[in-house]
Order: sequence, then structure tokens, then C-alpha cells
Amino acid sequence: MVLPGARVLVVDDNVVNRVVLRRLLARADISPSSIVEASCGESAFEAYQEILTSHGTISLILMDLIMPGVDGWEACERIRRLEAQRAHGSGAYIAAVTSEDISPGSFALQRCWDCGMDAVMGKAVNLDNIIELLRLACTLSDGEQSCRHAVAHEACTPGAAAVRSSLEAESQRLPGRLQQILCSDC
Amino acid sequence: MAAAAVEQAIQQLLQQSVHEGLLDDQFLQLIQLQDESNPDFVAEVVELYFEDSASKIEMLQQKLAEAAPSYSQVDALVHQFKGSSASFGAHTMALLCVQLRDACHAHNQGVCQQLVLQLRDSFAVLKTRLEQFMALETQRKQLGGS
Repeated sequence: MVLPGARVLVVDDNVVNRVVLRRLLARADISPSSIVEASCGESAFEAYQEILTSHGTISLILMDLIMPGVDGWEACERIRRLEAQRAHGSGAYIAAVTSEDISPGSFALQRCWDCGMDAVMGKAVNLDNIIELLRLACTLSDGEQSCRHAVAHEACTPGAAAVRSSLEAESQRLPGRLQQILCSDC
Repeated sequence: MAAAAVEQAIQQLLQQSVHEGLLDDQFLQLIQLQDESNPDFVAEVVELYFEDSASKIEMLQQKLAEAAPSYSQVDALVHQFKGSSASFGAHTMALLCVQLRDACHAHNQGVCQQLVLQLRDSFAVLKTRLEQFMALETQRKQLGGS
């Protein structure tokens, strides 16, 4: 699947993770020239700011959480503030990619929602996850957010089926944005 | 070795590695990401993981040898190591990192040091296995495999 004109920002302080994500994106038909990499939250924000300043867009951000200096949560907060200041459309679709505990009720997960992330997933990312994230980013950029309410998958245990639940409280925090927990085992 | 025999040897090695818990499905998926447009992807990732892991194990040993280790620094290293191991599919390594983080949070220097030794030993086994895999992969390519 191709998200026309899509640009993806990959943020991770570890080169192994960035190389794997880059390859997954390439297999999802995102051209190498459309992938921007950053190794920390600070450089991710600067890259995003620079792209917005040059009237470009980032459709999808894959954001590691725990990084030295500016972490993924703070980087997301900065990006959301920048988007609000510039009245930048629907903003980028930001997905945390983390090996932190993101089970329901976890500190990391709550912080992801609080800082404005759209999706959260574990570090063993597969091609299906990437394609799903690109689809969700495409849906957001198509401006369909007003038709959606927040839905979250319960974090899956291996082999367990995903459970959908409606979280009206979450939708009030970020009205219209679809919040997803993606499980690589689902 | 004929191409079919090499392919069979590769599959057996991968199955054995998964069965032993050295590797998981994530590594098998990484193999599927390699194609004609990126024929050296697996070799690239394997080499990167080797370098990164060796460096981290050395740093962990150094930091935990200090009289008063900085557990926040150790934790940050282990967290990153856990992430790269999960992305790569190094199952045993990722599990050991989870245990090491727990020991780190408990500020248990002795247990941390033992777990780093286990990481080192497990990495040595994994590295040998992956070197065997890469050697077979090279043979397969030379015999005209895709």
C-alpha cells in the first residue's frame, strides 16, 4: 500500500531498530527518500519543525519512548504544541514503538495518551503492524476524524484475541483522534 | 552441498534456534524482508546487532564493576539492549534483559553482574549460531538461491 506523498519519521536511539523499521517501511512501499530518521527526541522535533517550515508534511511518526535527553513523550508534546501553534491540519499520526510495559493501566501507556500519541505498540514490529499504522495515518490525513470515537484494543497476551472497548474518557482528551494499541501477536 | 541441501540445513538451523529459544518469530520475519532490492539486509542487521550487543555487554560489565554503579545508567543501557534484541528476534537475550532490569531496579549489584555474564554467554552462543546461518546463506546465494 502507498500513502501518496507520505513521509515517515523514524525516531529511535538504537541503529538496529531504525534499520529494521526502515526496511519494514520500504516493504510497505514507502520510498527510502520519504523516510527521515532521528536518533533522539530533540532531533526528531527539530526535523519535524524543519519539514513544517518548508511546507512539507510528515504523515506518520514512529517514536521510541525511552531515549537520552528528550524522550519520546516530551518530543510528542513538543510536536503537538507546534502543530497547534501552526494550525497544522490533523497533525502527524504518532505511534509509540516501545519495549516498555504498555499493558492497560500502565504508566507508560497512560503517558502516551496524555502526551497526544495516536497508537502504541511493542518493539517486535512486523510488516502487518506497519501497514496498519500507515492505513491509520492515511485515514487521519483524509480528515475522517470527526466520524470516529476513540477505540482501544486491550493489550494482547500471546495467543489471546484482541478485545475492543470504547473509552469515552480517552476521546475527550483527544476528541476525534483514534487511539490504538497494536499488538504484534494479534 | 547442493542448493536443496543447503536450504534444508538453513531451515533446520532456524528451527533448532527457535526451539532452543535463541531466536523467535521476529528474526524469521526479518529474513522475509530481504529481497532482490535489498539482498544484504539480513547480513546488515546481523552485523549491526553483533556490534551493538558486544559494545553494550562490555559497557554493562564496566559499569557494574564500579564500587557504586549508576543503576539509572545501567537501566538505560539494558532498556536499549532489550529493545534491539526484541526488534532483532534474539529471544533469550531479550528475556535476560528483562531480568537484568528487575535486578537493576532492586539495586542488586551481584545479581546484575551474574545476569550480565549470562548475557555474555548467551550472546556467544547466538553469535556462533548466526555465523553458521550466515555461512549457509552465503552458500545458498552462491548456488543461485533467491
